[in-house]
Amino acid sequence: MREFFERMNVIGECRRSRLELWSCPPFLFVVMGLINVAAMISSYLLASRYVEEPEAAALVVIAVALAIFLIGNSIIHGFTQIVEADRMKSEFVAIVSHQLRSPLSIFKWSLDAMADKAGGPSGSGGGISHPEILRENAEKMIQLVNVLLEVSRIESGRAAFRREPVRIDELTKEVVRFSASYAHASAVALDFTAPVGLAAVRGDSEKIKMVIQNLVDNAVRYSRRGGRVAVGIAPAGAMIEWWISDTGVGIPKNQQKFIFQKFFRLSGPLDRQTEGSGLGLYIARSIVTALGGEIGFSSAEDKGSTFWFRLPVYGA
Amino acid sequence: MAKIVFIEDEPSLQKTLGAFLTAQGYEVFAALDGETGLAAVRREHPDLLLLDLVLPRKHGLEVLEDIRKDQEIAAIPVIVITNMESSDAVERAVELGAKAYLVKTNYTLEEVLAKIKNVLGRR
Repeated sequence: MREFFERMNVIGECRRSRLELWSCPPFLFVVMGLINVAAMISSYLLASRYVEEPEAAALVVIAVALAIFLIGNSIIHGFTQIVEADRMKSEFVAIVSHQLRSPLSIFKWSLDAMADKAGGPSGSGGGISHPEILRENAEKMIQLVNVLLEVSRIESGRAAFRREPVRIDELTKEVVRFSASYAHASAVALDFTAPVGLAAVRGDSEKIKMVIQNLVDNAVRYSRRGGRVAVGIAPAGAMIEWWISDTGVGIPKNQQKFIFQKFFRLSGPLDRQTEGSGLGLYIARSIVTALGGEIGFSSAEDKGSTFWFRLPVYGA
Repeated sequence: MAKIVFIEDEPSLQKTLGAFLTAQGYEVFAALDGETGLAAVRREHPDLLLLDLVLPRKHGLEVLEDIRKDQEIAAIPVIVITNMESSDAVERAVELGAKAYLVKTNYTLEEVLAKIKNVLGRR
């Protein structure tokens, strides 16, 4: 019985499935039902009062049919949205599982190698430090899980942001230093010259670092060998602008409008070559907008992309 | 001693398996992306190629296609070693003549070694 009443609370149900009321099938069905009832009553009233004018009743019926047709359309659209969200989730689970497999296979092989070493003459040698590798990859796994938690916090509106003074030049230096070995291994030049006397922005340093790390990773990842990635920061009125330009593969025009969507990854010649979760830019945009900033990009296929964001100066 | 080129974009995996195979007496040439890996295959003419699929700068399947097109290196046996489990990719790799297809998480180092010995022994 309780279940029945819970199901009757269509508005609550729509909220839970994160759909706008007007594209939420359960709600629209109720609206359609009400319209039907209202239409029948009014046609009865009209028909009994204006017996000589059957056209009036016919008009009401046509209007009602039209309204029901339109609502039916919205219902179908709502279902399509639900199906699409579901498809993206499944794809996402597949991607995440694949990404978790990578550190897991490292755990397995490193432990194998350690056991083998302890076990005797066959030895795996090579002078590599397995505890170090294990620690690094545990860190990677933690980061991935943190990203997933961040998404779930953003989705449920529970993400908390600090508003402290943040030196994005310092953060950028840290990130660039951290990414240097990856860029070097990919034969991509990564340049950053910090401007002098830059003001602090207002934000959450952990979260902003996540944004910067993400944009730097993307720029290097989507570059070709011998490519060049340049990072810059400059004041822009009451904001500070940060940007990163690469000479990479660029984003095809028809995919540009999806770039900040959750789970989106570039498709085309490169789609199989990268391992992104499809969450980086979605998180970046959620963070920057939550901090009162803006984020955007310009890109030309085969020429490269420039991503930028602006955050308000602290105290401005 | 048998020469192996190992293309894998995850440095830790590359180090672990690379060191293990070196300790087993193989000569291992490692590459972190498809392009560099293909260049290494052309340069070294290895007895075996261990190939990951999801690679930056050239997907593993494209590396495999290029190898099969190049008479000089077309006969080199290839073991695909990846964490992807897409049947399309497996099918394509087999079509392109991969001798074996390993999902990393499902194999221990010893089992990988056994596969390698098996493929090298068959030649």
